[in-house]
Amino acid sequence: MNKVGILLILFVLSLILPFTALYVGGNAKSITLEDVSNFLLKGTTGNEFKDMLLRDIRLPPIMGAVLIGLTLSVAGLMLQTLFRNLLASPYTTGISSGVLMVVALVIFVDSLSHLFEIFGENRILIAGWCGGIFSMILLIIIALRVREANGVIIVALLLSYFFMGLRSYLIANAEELKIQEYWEFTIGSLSKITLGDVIPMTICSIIFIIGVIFLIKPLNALLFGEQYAKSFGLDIKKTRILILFFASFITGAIIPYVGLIAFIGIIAPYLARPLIKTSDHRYLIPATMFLGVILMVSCHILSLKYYLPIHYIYGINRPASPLPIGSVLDILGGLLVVYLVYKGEKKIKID
Amino acid sequence: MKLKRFLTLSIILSILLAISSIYSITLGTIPIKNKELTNYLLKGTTGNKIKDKIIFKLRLPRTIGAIVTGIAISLAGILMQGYFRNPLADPYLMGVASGASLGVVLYIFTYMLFKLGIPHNIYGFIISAYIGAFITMFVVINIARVVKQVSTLLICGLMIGAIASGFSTIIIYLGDYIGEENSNLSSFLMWEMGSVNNLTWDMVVIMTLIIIPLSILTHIFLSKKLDANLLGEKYAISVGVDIKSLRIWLIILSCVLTATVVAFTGPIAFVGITCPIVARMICGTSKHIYVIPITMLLGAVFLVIADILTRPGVLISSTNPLPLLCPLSIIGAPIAILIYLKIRKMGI
Repeated sequence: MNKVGILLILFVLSLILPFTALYVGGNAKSITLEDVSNFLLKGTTGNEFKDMLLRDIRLPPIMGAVLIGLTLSVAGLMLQTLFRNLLASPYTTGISSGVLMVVALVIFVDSLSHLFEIFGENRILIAGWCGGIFSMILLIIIALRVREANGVIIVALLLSYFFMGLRSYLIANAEELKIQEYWEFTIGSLSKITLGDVIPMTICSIIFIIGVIFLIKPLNALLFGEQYAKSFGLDIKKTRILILFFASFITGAIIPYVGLIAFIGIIAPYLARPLIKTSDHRYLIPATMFLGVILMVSCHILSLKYYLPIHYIYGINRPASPLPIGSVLDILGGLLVVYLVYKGEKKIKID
Repeated sequence: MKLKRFLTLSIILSILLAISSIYSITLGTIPIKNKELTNYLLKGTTGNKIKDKIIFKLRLPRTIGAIVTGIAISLAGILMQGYFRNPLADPYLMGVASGASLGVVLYIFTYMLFKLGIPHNIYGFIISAYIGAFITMFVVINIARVVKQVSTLLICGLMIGAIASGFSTIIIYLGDYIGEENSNLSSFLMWEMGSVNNLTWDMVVIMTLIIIPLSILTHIFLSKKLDANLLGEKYAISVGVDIKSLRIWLIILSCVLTATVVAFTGPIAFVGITCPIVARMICGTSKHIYVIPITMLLGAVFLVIADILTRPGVLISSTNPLPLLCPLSIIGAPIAILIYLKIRKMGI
């Protein structure tokens, strides 16, 4: 099968899955499949309450999942090309943690949130960008000092522990109610997204995707090595900074609304490469995007529709609440990274 | 020459430990004067019944707990570094501490155990932590068989930690633990980031009874073997060290030490990586017979000081204490990064 065919299949799948999620993704029994079809086709189910449930509760997380899948996965792919390491992603290069730290400080520390109030409604977004730029500068400093590819990631991961330490300062200051808010914020979950959040996320994602389209050629040139890229007439320094800038830009725009979503930037490109069988970014980037959407949305469905004998394990009589998607990705992504490293080392041994 | 240096170092560190312990006992929301403390130590009472109770019930278990924790984690760090022959190995970074805490979380939250008739008590905490630690350690060892590079093993360890913490987050999230008043969650979060302020006497007694004899025995019996092991497997065998049993002992000891502590204080980060390296640096040797005691003393001092820093009124003005992760990772992470960069420069 040729590349275009595979891309087409992925595209169709990534179109179908969000609608599936809309159909099955909820625990309200009163909403039937027919209601959802009515909502999609006519714009209303005829029942105000059902409309509200669908529009305000079911739709935003799905849109969030789609946007995250579209953007963070590509950001991971770009960083992987930049660092020449399959393990690079917004999370493993410390960008996500830096963004999360600044945003958490702005939300939960009173004096800082007063300071950011001048930005009005978008203050979280601004805080996210501040964090993104901050961690980008840190990453550049690290990359200048550490030449080895894995070294950058280790230093960045250790740095993210440092950020975690700074963040834990918040627990001491928070009141009891704020702690739960803080905790749910840091573990990464889609259930907190509202329709109002989706708008800035969408705008930033569109800007990001346009930027990525312009970066395809430089990315391809980087694949062949610096020497080639130079002879190709590419300003390497500028390209690198642009890649880092776009990755931090989109991380800073997404993370503030959903909390720490790790590993999607590793999993999606990793799965895309063998599927598309080329490292040409013209094909790889769309494939990664669609796979990211498929992954995020199916993780979302999984986190809603899992089956756990909750009565038996916990002794609680209530319907199961949705899993935090961040932890689902933590488990999947952690396993994948361990497998990747394991496989990589085995190969070296054979040689 | 080495012996002299070792003796002076250990004396200096002991004095430091004594001073910081005194600080740890006297500092707090209700300060205790030095005179009262001397009275308490000599006559058994400060003359004020409430202050007596504060010292006995709150400050003493906390301080002793911090000392014992520091000893255990730094020793576990040295043992794991010996096992992996990797200066960056550490119970926290290798994921063993997270595994142990996953075991404890499972134990706390699963109602199933209750139904089977297993009650919630201190021994249950320890045993579940042991099981979690041993399972994680088993996984890490199997990965380490293939993965030989310093950096890749570290990445694997960090990822195993991420997997374990993902599972424990899900378990907590699903359980009704958030509760009506939220105080449950906050105390759990404190535990998850490491804290010694909820220790009680029976916990401290158990920790001390397990850890102190183990560390002394390790120092007596394993120092020479660890030296040989550090020089390479073949050398160790040629000197007559039974390498297989040594490795098994190293695993068991480091898991037991880590898990005993984690069961009560939560995962303690970065002590296991920084203390052994600093100890080797100030000793000027890597002979374990000198390094092990210095490491243990350093760990104790480090943790007592970190514990002092977390108290309200020292760094922060709020009423709640900070988790231990805060000072430990702020101090420890830069040191770990420096160590990592330096090691690579030295070409090891």
